[in-house]
Amino acid sequence: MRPGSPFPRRLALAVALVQTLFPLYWALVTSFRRGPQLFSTAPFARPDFGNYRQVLSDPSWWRDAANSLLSASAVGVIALLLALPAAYALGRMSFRGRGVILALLLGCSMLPQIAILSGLFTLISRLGLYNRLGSLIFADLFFALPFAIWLLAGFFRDLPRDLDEAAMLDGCGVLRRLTLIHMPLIWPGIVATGLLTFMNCWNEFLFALTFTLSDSARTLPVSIGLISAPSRFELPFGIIMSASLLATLPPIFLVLLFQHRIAAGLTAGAVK
Amino acid sequence: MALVELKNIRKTYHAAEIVRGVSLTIQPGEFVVFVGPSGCGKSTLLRMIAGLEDISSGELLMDGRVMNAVEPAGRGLAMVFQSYALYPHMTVRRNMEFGLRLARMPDAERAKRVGEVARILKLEPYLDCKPGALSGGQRQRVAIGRAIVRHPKLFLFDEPLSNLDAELRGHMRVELATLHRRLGATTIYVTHDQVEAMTMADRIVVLRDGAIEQVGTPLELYRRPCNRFVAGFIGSPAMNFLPLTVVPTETHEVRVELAGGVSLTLPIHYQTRLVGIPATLGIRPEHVRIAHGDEAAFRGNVLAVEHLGALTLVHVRLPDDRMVVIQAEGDADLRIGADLSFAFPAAHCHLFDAAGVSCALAG
Repeated sequence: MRPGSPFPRRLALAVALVQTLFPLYWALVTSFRRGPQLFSTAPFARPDFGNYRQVLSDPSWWRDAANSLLSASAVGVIALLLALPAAYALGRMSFRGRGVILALLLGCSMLPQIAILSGLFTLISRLGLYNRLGSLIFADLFFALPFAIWLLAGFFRDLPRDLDEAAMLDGCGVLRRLTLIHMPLIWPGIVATGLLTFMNCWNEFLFALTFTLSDSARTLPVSIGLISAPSRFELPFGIIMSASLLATLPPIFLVLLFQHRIAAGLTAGAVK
Repeated sequence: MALVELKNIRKTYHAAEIVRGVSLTIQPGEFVVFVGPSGCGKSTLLRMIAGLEDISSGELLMDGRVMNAVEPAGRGLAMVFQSYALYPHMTVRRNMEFGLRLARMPDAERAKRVGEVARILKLEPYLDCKPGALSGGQRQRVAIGRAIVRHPKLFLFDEPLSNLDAELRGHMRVELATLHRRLGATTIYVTHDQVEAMTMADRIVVLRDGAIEQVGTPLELYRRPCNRFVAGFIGSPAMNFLPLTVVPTETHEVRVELAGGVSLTLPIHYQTRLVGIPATLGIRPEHVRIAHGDEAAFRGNVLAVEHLGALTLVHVRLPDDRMVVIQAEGDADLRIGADLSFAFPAAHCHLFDAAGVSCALAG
């Protein structure tokens, strides 16, 4: 921290930091505890990886993780593939009803999940997707797609128009303009959108709980929610916390992996 | 080299007519400059020629072929944008060869062309840089290079120098003119800067409100502007305008009376229709002569003096509060607040009627 920073600013920072990090820290501390220790309120615990060993040695945890990874990746990829051309049209072309479509998309992504749950449930059973991973992909796309289109349309809109025209004069059709000129330029935006979509689906709980029944299609958030102890009078906080913390690792890893791609400033030098 | 013909070209946007019936023939190899104030439709006209805007009505012909419906890439032209519009994710080399790649030109020939253009534009050291690493002038050269490598029949420039600083602009002006002589391609150049127009053009097209005001060589426009608008637009500093009345005479020449009772005889064919209407006298600052004695018909008070080194601009206030700018020698000794007497040599006076149309064409 810079010397001479005013005290109130440091205080505000400290409060914000504690507010954000304390729950995580508490989860970490709890994940090291077992048995009666779980009820301790001491803010420290000796690192004990027993809970982690137990979670990781359970084959069903690995299967659930694979399910989560599969459905979230599928939603991310499908959403990007469908959203790119839609966002291109909405962001770079002007046509009748464009504003209405954008407003509808925004409206869709604002609906509470619970509002469309019963409708989606009927649809999914009719399609024969119930208790399959496909049901999650289908349901998650309902929110992921408008979100991705809305985000990407903004990136497309901000690209300088002269670039299109220069490319047209160079002999590019729409498809080549999209793939050779625009996509490389908004690559950071595409990566960010894909990551956000992935994370939303990775953490998605309500749909996963509603549309899956058996272990075969269960995802991590649901499986963590269903962790229980042999006795009905006991809740295994330690194991739940270690499973939860483990579940946060893949998104963090992905963000680190793509971090350098998200660096902005790629369009510098296009105009002026 | 292309022969470009515009036949009554019009552009309407939402019921507003931006370009109102422009007809023009541009000879192969000619350097034509479209000039006019902002909003005069010059850029729209250029974009219609490029194929970036639809032509609402009229015909565009290149070498005798109607081009109205031909795709921009199929018109055999290249355009340099005001914003350069370089592809930021590609190196200078890729930027220049992008169009050639899309046209599936063999590698060897492509490399040869890019090398040649890079040499002409002194871009060789930067071929593997991205545009973001270049200065404004270098980016501008890349944009020009990207246009040249395609060996277009027609070059279009849309205010290409307006993002550069004054010094670089002067330099690029000379470079572009040299380049045009070397390549010989037909060129259409849009600018709002009359200096660029005067220095580079074979012919200037002055546009206002979507219509052509006058077409001619720079000197034609300078010497014989067809109306008050062109007279005021071409030439720097701008022409002085003073109101006058034409008095009836028996001679062939026009006799005019200006405020303050000054009268002049102009070598312009006398027309009775001019008598009594509110007309305007135009004279360029460089033609006003500081004089003494009988010759000096006008007197004024020096309000401001701008020393430009080689010459001096004097802003003089006439007794009726109108301003006249006089261009004097660089070493002229003029003091603010002093009285100054001067004359308007009749041969350099322009006379514009009430509608602003020049009456000088007869003389």
